[in-house]
Amino acid sequence: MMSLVGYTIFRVSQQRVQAIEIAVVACAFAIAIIMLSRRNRISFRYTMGWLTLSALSAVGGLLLPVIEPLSRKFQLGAFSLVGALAVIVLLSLCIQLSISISGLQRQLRKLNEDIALQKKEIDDLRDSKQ
Amino acid sequence: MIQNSEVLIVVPAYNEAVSIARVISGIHSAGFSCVVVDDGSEDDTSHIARKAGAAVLTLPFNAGVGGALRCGFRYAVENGFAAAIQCDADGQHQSHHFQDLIHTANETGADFVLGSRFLSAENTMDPHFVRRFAMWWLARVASRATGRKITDSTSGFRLIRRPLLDELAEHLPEYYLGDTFEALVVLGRAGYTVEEIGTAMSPRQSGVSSASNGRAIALIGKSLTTVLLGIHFRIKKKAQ
Repeated sequence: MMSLVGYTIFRVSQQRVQAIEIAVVACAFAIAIIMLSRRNRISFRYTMGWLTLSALSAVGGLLLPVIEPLSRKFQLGAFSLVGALAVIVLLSLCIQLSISISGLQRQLRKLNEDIALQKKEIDDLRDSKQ
Repeated sequence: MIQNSEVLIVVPAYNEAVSIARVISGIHSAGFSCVVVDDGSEDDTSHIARKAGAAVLTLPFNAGVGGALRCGFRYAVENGFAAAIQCDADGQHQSHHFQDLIHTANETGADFVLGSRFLSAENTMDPHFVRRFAMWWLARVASRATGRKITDSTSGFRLIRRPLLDELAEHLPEYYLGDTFEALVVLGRAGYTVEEIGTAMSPRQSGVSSASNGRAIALIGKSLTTVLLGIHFRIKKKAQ
């Protein structure tokens, strides 16, 4: 829709409109991430990760004309190539998050056991004092 | 040789206030010490178990049978026990069989002695035929991994001696079948020896089974996939 409006009213090329679209979506995404971060819903580490992804997407959109020759080598349009790269980055992030969660589960498991074992020691000490 | 005083009975318990005192009394009468691992119960399991004279470990939240067992095994290792026997808190496992497990471990030198419900003449278990087929299939896979015929790969009545106990205290998974069937396959593949004896099971004194037939079959499928793909947990290979 935006492409059609840009193309017919403002007479800008379709590629530029696509670049603007990507940049707008990336900025909206970045704003959403900042808002979540300010409400302490996302830690600093992940905020920076997602903001970097937003910035790369925006820059990727602006670089569409430059990417065009490269995309032709893969038998893809420039827009499709940027999309494919975004999917790869997102999948990598998902794997990284899975690794993080698995590590946290291991830590939580250990903590759970440590608490039980130490509580037993405290109870024993308390009993021996009485 | 494992002496009775070197064996700790580990009893994972979740909301077993009704039966736990009787189970502990049975263990003490058989001359063994025990640790009850309260797996985040919402009833008085911890309190009753402590009053009955058991050592009690209280997990702050529910970790699953495997998680509770791991904690109990850690306690056994940290307190210098030579072996641990897992025993259910619902009164199904009979304390007079502890001696049979220890005797078999001493006779054969096995690292792991499994109490099979199907080898016992007093077997009263009659699962749904689909579940029975799945259990037979699990037993076949476990037999192949351990190099000996296994009839009851999902039994929760077993003796584990060190150094295998140290490994399971560190790595035993908490999910359904991870602590039974998967553990059996993993220890078999790591070169530990397994023996199986017949042990009778009493009817449940309280509570209901944790898995329905449909859910159990789905989880059996998941567990088989895990083992066949080799994406199970890992332990150190047995030193030769």
